[in-house]
Amino acid sequence: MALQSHASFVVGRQDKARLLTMGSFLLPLLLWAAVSYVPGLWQPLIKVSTPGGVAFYQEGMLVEKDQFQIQAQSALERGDAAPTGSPANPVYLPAPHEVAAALYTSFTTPPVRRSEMWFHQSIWHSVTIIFWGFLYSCLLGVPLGVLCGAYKPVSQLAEPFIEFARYFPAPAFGALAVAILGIHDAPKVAIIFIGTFFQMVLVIANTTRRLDTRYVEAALTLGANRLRLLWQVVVPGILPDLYKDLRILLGWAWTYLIVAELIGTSSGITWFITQQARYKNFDMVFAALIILGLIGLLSDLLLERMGRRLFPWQEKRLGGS
Amino acid sequence: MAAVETQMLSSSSVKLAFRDLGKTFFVQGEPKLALQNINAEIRTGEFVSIVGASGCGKSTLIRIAAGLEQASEGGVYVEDNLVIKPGQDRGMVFQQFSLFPWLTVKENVMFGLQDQCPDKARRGEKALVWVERVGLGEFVDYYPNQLSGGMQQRVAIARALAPGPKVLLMDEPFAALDAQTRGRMQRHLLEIWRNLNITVVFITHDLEEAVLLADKIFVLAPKPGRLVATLPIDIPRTKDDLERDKYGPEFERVFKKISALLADSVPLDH
Ligand SMILES: Nc1ncnc2c1ncn2[C@@H]1O[C@H](COP(=O)(O)OP(=O)(O)OP(=O)(O)O)[C@@H](O)[C@H]1O
Ligand SMILES: [Mg+2]
Repeated sequence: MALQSHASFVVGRQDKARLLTMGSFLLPLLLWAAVSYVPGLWQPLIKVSTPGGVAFYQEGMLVEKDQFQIQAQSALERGDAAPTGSPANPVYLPAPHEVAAALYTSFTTPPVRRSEMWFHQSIWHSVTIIFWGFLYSCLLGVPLGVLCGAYKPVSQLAEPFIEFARYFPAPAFGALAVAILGIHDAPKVAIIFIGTFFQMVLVIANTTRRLDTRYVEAALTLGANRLRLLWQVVVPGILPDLYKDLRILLGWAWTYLIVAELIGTSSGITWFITQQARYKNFDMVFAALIILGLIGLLSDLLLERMGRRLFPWQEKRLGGS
Repeated sequence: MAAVETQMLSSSSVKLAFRDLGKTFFVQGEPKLALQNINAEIRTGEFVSIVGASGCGKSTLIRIAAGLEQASEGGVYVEDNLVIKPGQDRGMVFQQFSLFPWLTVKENVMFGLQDQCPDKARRGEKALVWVERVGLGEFVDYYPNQLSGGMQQRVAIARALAPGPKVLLMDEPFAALDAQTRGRMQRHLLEIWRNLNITVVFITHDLEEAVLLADKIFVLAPKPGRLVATLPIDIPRTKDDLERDKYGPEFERVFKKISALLADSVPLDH
């Protein structure tokens, strides 16, 4: 009986959590739909449908409301036909259905030039840049961070310079990276590396230092030497936190992507966004942003699931505090 | 019979000795005297309890004995060898549960056996024996998080004992347990102590626990931490030659006596 009520309580809580998660996406979507579709809610502009007597008006043109009024007035005064139009939102706020359509056409539109890529190829290219940049960053940053956290002399030797170097803005290395590494993917990977490596060392060093000393002390009383302390206590002890750190740092890697993809031969999804924004195809911009968000969110969800598998000892027993 | 033998043995050899032990901490550059001039001896097979007010230096004392902290003056000797670092001749059980959360019960116990037993399978068998000895045979593959506090401390005791230490150092090991569990753990500890003929140093701030368990009680006074009394407890262990009757008249007499001592042990600098 008690168990049942406990179970239903848990389910109730999960349902609520799921509802809130959905709400977290639904609320912005509803707001967006309302602003796009409810007449007069915002719509600060007029979309011209017939120019009437206004010489410079064209069909489909967006003009300010009061300007439209003034032009209509003067057209009437001149004895011309007044222009007609309907309230509209600015181009930078496409309606949800337009973005949905753009999402579809972005995948189905073949590249304009032969040197360019399909949309899904661009996305994949971005993902590989992130993957390699972040992988190199981890391969060097994780061991160095752990060593800094575990051994004071290492920290004293390495951390002052890293503290200094982490203020180098990664974009500033763009031209240098291209000069050294060529114009293809290597400099892009290098930008992601530079953007995440220094932070990673410092963050992981701190995580390592935060390891509860009682584990180290318990190991010492059980006869552990330095090497065993590092491999059998420090590393497994920080692993779940280290994993969480890496998940957060991976998010940062994505912010450097836009710089990485602008240098050398421009490529990838953020380049796509830059291009489309230049042509004022804001529906395409939003579509690409949604893709980016989805990739980030889904990969993080996946990593979180994996984390639960990887660190089974973190599971509390049922009913435990 | 066994008790008589241990007493005869223990009267001859000193296992653990504190000699002119002093400890000064530096807090923001200011020296702070935590322990002053501690002199005491603990014999082989003896069960000694250390009691004293909070902050009087009990943990510091036992941590120096474990080698986790350095003495500022004098030192702790195990069979005439000065303690300078942790070693497998001394096992330690901490107040805060300190099992490695990423290892199962068995793996925790295996941790201290790596030097003695390089073969992993053999090590596992040895650990299993210890896990069973503390009555947790069916939980070998559980993670510490999945166990109750009492079970965790039993594993901690098994882990500390597995490498075969001569001295078991315990810093308020049962303080975080509920009264019932604590009672069972006390009984359990006495059994282990008797079976292994091991020397136990047991810190507690629960005087009743000290009188119940110990052959000898050290009373520490605070500010600075000093040893103000060493009291042999001669109340007979009536239950199975192990436990004392805590409702008997003798128990109350001794309890009151030490209570008064503790109440008198006020800081020197007041
Ligand atoms: N690392 C340290 N640095 C500075 N002062 C310390 C340190 N460790 C302990 N002390 C001080 O030494 C004194 C004794 O501390 P200790 O932890 O040994 O007391 P205790 O008797 O174990 O207390 P409790 O019963 O609360 O556990 C305290 O005043 C404490 O503040
Ligand atoms: Mg203490």
